[in-house]
Amino acid sequence: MSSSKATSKCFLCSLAKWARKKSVWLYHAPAGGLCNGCDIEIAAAITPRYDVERFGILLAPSPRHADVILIAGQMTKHSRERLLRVYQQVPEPKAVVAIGSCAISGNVFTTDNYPVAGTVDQIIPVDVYVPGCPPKPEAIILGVIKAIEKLEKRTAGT
Amino acid sequence: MKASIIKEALKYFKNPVTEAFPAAKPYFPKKFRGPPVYDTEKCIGCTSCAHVCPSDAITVTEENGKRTLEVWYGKCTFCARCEEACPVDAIHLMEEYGVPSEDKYAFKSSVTHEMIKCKLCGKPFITERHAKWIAEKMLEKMKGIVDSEEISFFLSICRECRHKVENIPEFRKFLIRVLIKGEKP
Repeated sequence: MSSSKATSKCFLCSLAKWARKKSVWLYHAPAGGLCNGCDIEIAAAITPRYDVERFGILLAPSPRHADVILIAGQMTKHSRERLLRVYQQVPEPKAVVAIGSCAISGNVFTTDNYPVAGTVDQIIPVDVYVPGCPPKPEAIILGVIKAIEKLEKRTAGT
Repeated sequence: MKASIIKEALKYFKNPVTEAFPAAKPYFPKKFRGPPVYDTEKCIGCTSCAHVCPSDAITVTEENGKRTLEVWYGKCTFCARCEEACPVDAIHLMEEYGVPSEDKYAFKSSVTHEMIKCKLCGKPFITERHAKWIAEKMLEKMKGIVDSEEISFFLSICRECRHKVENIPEFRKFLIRVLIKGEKP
């Protein structure tokens, strides 16, 4: 808390905060059990129809280049470790967006199904939830914008 | 078929494909299925929506003589089966998309109903509006066979108690005399 107060006062700190601003790159991580509906909507959000690249939002090929992870789908036992590794590879500061009903609660797959290892927020901290089955591309863009606000707060904190 | 595709392709020579999203209103196609929302004035609390829900997004809780139906959009499949099953058209899918939030329990729609207590065991078992609706429908369809007194008798006693009573015909007649007609035993 004290550090965030200091940033508002000190000129050099605010300059550093301005200099640290950058375009947000996304990493799309499907978490095992899903129907690909949410993946297609994410693809719709980053392709010309909704073209988020005009805001500087871009799809990154590797989690090491990304700032925000988009997680779609219900987490399975096999994808649990991989998801954790993807989360650890993203450099700080980072934000996580859970997309679709499956990532939020499990939807029709429930949480006591045999290949399922609980919901996504049981192993990694999720910042923004986007409801929908699948969510509209507009909702995904709004979710990413909310994640950017959180990211900015975190950059100011460090 | 082909002509329509060429027409669609030629359209993009005039205007860009990209939608000006934050400025322009979002486009909703025909029969778009958004989040379901309850009409609190129409709903009778019969729980048929919760019964057909494939992902158990609609939950029913009974507390202190009140029944609450709740849709959680975080678990909803937006399949519109609740809309299909509702006998009074009290649940509808909105033409909207779910707004993202930091709290996953933020997106909800709920409705609360008062319940009627059973005359014999004192347990709340049906909502007031549901009982009224059943009485209306039964009178409409079986006007010559049953009278309103008998219907109100059936709707004031819970299912378990009714089964017990119906097995003993003398006791049933006795109860009808005492509870409805007000005769002293």
